[in-house]
Amino acid sequence: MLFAGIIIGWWILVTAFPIPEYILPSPGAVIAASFGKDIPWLMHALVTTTEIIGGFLIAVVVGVLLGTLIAWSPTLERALIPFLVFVNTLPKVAVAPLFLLWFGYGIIPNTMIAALIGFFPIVINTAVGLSQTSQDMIDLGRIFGATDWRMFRKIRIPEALPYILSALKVSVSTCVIGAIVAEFIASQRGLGYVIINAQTTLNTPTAFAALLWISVIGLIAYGAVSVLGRWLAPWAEGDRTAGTTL
Amino acid sequence: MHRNALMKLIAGAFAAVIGSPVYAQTPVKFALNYQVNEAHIAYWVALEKGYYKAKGLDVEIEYSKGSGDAIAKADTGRVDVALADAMAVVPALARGAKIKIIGMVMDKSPLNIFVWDDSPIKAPKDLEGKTLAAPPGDAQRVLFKAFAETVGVDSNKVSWLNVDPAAKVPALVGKRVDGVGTYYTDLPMFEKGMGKGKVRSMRWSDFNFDPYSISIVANDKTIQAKPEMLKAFLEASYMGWRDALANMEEGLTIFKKQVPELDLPVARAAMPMVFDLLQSKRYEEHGIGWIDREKICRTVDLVNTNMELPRKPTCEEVYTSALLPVVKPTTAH
Repeated sequence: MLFAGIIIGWWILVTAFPIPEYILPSPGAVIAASFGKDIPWLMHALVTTTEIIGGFLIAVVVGVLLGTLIAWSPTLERALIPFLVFVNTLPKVAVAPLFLLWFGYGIIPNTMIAALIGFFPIVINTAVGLSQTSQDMIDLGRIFGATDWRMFRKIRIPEALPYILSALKVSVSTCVIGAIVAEFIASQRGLGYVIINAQTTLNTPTAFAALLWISVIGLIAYGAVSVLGRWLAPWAEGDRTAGTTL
Repeated sequence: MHRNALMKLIAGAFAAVIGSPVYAQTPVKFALNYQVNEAHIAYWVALEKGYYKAKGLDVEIEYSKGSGDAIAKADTGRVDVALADAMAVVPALARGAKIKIIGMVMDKSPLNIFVWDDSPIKAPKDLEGKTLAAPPGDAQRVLFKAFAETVGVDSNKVSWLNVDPAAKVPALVGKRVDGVGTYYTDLPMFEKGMGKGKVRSMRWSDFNFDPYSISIVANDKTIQAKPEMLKAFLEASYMGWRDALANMEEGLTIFKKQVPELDLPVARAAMPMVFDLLQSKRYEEHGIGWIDREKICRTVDLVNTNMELPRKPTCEEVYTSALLPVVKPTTAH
């Protein structure tokens, strides 16, 4: 309903006012550009999607690992958190030209930038989730003689899952942003590349069309993470009172 | 007696307020084409020396994110006048913008490709099989096919990497590409990253490829409604250029004072190159900013031929010389 309302309002705005197309194209012009033959949309979308998925997977592995280390050891927590906050607050638009210098251009450096933007929510939520295990469950584990590792696997991780899954949903969206930012800095393909090229000739319908495809990819990615979460941990997805620190 | 003195005091204060230049100043918003660089020196000189103020203009300068952004600001009336590459004006008109070039800045083309000094690229033909980097809207990128035809290069054999302007230097420093398309006036910036003497230029004007570049634009409504304001703005701006061309150190001192974040050593190294692009027989004869009809029409044709546009704007749509003042350089070419 909200989407429909926005599109109707947009259509009324461009119809009622003499807004040049290069400032704000009509919804019709954007849809036409989205399916136009001038741009090999599938090829560009595949490149960007690869960067997003690759960045997300790296973010998940690195984020969960670091979050676990932080939850495991207060010493590591004190050592890592300031550094991670520092890295997270670096403006990635400023860092990306350095990636070009260090790693060159293409899918791999773009994937790394996507991961750099996406890992932080996972680290924090993993650490918090692992630290929030209920004392009753810990006591129960100890009564039954569970080792630290067994308690970690059987109690802490399941209790932390609502937090981790929330972070995954945020992270996948930020990985989309990261991939596009990277393509803005240096690229020969991808939806970010299409946007930059379109802007140079003020071809705003095509730029909007690329944004539309980016949003579709983002929605699918978010939905996929939600579905995966329900499949992996149905109890976690069902508990709406649990965890997010974001 | 006291009453007379008081009345005179009140009358004098009233006259001072009414006659104050503050009330005679027309606000003018002026958008540069990008963040501040050496090619903007004249406007700060004009501001500091009061040339705008003397013509009744209260000019406020703002930055833009490229010529497209500056053109959009002028077209929508968010600014009264803007700097933009002549080659960005043509696609803007093709897409519905209602603007015109009202004066030029550089008379000679700054188009260029930088390579490392030990690069095997020594002539244009050596570009075949290589990868060059440039932002997609850069003139070097847009006109490369036309330049290639001029110098006998197969442009299909040259790859391009899209880069953000901030990534141009890192791309070449890191040898991630074989060359970078950028204005010749960026040489000091590249030498800062690569080392003095380590950068070789391929200036397109050396191969008789010499279209127009940076220009001053305004929208059609402003041209119709405020021609005197625009004439005054152009005159004051070109007076700024005249003074900067005549005394570079004075201009740099003013520039640094007005723009504290300016990298003075880089600006000082680049400025003679910027000035070289404005020093021409045409400007000595007709005044700074004069628009040569044959050259502007050739520039429009180049863009129409090399860019995919919904329509091809005519030369007459792109510019007007009606507002040009005559401000001649005081130093001969």
